[in-house]
Amino acid sequence: MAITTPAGIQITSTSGLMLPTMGKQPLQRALENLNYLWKFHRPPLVDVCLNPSTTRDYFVIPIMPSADGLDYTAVHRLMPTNTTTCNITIDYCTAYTGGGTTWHNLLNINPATTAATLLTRSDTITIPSTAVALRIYYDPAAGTIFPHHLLVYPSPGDAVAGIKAGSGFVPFDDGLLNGATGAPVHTEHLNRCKLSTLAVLRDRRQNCLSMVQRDSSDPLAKRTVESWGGLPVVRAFFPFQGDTVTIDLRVLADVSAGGTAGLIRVSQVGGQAVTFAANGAIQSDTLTLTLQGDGPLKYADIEIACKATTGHTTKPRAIMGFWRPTD
Amino acid sequence: MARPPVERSWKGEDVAVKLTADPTPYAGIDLLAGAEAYPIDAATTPYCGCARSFDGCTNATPGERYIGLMVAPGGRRARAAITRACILGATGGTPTPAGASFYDNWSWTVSGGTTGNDIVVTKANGDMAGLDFTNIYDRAYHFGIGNPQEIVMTGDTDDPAPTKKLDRLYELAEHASPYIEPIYISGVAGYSVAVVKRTADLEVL
Repeated sequence: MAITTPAGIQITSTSGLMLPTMGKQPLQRALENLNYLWKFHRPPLVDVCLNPSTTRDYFVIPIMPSADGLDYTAVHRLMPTNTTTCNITIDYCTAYTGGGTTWHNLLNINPATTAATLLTRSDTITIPSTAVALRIYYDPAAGTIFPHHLLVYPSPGDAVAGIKAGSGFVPFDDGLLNGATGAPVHTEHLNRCKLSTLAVLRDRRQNCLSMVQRDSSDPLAKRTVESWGGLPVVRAFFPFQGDTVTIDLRVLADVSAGGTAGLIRVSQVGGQAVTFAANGAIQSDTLTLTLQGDGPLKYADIEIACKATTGHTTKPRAIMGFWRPTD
Repeated sequence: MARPPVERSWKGEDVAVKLTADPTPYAGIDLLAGAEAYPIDAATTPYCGCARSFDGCTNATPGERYIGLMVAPGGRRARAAITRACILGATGGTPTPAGASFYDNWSWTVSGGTTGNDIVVTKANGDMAGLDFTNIYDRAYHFGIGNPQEIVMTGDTDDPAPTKKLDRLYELAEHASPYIEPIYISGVAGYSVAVVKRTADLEVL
């Protein structure tokens, strides 16, 4: 009995599927591909070009992590001004309450930097299923540092025995299938190909919209006008998907003072719109997008807009969108 | 016979519905192929192209970004959607110097090459053509832009060995497992990438 995780997706030839009887192959390869999928299905949970202001900025990023409490890899791309070191920390929280939030540390490192040379740094972090936000902090020992991009993607180890209670994924152990020659094939094996695939697909949401600004002081883009004003429109691709997709939105914004209701808007150009309060809490809603284009270029154009109340400033901190295949 | 990746929509797939509810189904090719296709299609369908909104076009930040793109197995070529935004120059109308544009976007992937003719240059066009970009770095990324903005797709010409800078497809590496493709892009207010060509035969990945 063994739970084998292939290093690459295993492809059976078209002719290999045309077998007169259902032997252990190619079904075994297909089932081992489930173990592959567990380890190597890596859609980004966070795919953000950060909007810093100067240096030593905090960024709070709402997330929707795997229900299985997976290991993730965080990849920072940073441009420093000095040859020095930069403290990088990543924290998570299970309830965001602004300044009173209890943060739990996932990463605290001090990599060396070289002046005007891109630093690409990758580290493994374990994000609990209950996490609702990450907090990122960059603190160079000297000079400034510009964060270009942050990528966080699932990177669990090999599949191990046992049903995953969160996602419902069932790994493949070849004990039954690889036993006696001529042993029967259980239909559960066939069903598992579908159900475990969908379990992984649905559990690992894909970041489809991102806008993150610093969480301290005023962010780069803010608004003092009482009418809606949009950021430049951005395009999200949903390759090969149907006429519509529904995405989950997480929004974090606050105000200098005054009312907070309905000050942030996320909309598809020519489509639906949803509004959010800028009350310093993480707000959530869904948005159904009607896709344009064809094939790999199925897309939706999305606008993030904001308005203020009289005499006050609205400060968007983070707008994140997540797509779950099948939605 | 080659086995190309399929174009699969996951819309409406129901985790509560089994592939077969028959306890003794006929051992046909359709059933086996249907089961076998699930993990392969899930692995090789490109991930969604994240719409990243950020300031890469004002004096508040550098006009360039280094990005890591996660590419699903079998990705071969890609195109980007570039969001451009600017504030018109005081005089308007005439590029300075004449005939030039200050709003070309440069980009590259490491797989395609990072220097010389390998750089993908996407010329200013559409709403951005013929504008005076004297004040281009004057807060083009803000709420209520109201000024010229456009989304432009990078080129669809497949030329992995260009003899001059072209607006062409991004080259990716074809792998049997996901990998991160380093990408550079200059002067944008938003950026997303779609994998538009995949490997012709999954068997040779």
